[in-house]
Amino acid sequence: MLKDIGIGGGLGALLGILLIAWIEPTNAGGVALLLFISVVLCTTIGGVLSLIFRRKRKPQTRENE
Amino acid sequence: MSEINNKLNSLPEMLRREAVPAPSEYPSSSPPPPTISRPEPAPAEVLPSRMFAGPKQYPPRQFKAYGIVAFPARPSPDDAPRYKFFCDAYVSALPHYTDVRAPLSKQMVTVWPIDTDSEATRINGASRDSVCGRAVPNYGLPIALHAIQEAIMNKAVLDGRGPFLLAWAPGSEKGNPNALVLVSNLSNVSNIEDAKAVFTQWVTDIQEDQSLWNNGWNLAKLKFIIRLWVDRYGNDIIKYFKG
Repeated sequence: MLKDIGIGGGLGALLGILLIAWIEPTNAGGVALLLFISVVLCTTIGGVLSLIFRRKRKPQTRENE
Repeated sequence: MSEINNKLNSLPEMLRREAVPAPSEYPSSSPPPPTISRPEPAPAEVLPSRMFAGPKQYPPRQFKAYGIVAFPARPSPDDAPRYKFFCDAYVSALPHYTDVRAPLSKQMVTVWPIDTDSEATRINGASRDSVCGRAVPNYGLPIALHAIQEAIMNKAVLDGRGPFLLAWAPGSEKGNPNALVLVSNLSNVSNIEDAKAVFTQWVTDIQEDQSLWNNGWNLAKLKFIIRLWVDRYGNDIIKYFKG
């Protein structure tokens, strides 16, 4: 779970930096908000996706056992 | 971009048409007009301008179209600086209607409403540096509220603290539910740089118009709206955490 958050957070920070370069906020608050939203969004999406994939994998593991 | 290219491409043809009229356009007995004439702006061209107007001077029907900087409230000591920077941006981005070298019928004027006609006339005659010191405390709220009401009648969605840039085309159809209304919500603008950018964009939209008159969208507009939003709320959040 922590690993997923780390990957999501990293991707979010990267997306945030790209957005900052494109949007060009005029104050520090704008920069911080853009970065924060990107990190939260990517972490949430990453978390949801990892949950979905974990659920799909679980039945297969039981069958193998 | 392609629209501008098309206009540029058609320019020589327009000039040729003006320079050499068809023989059927003038009687054979009279001497032919000179073959070289000064090129005039294209008939559809609308030039942006500004004016301060009192209750009896608004709406300015002598203009081709008109708009208004409409705040939903008068300035209070807390938000007066915000009104001031909007006024400064308005004055710096738009030329006064007397400075525009075009008849009023070819101007799209954006009005800053004033409480009384006499004060509006005085402000119109004042120097550019001093106008906002008088225009902000004498803001014409009844005119602005009436304009907001009529824009809402035109199905415009006006939420937020404002101001709103509202325009009617043609100007005489204001309030008519079928009149086209151009709306720009400036609620998220929180500094003079953004305000200037909005007014500059407003000027560009008036001149090149089509996309915004029809409520069009493009990537630059989306980027600009996101920037206004993050600038405003980011600042608010930082202020909140700083206490």
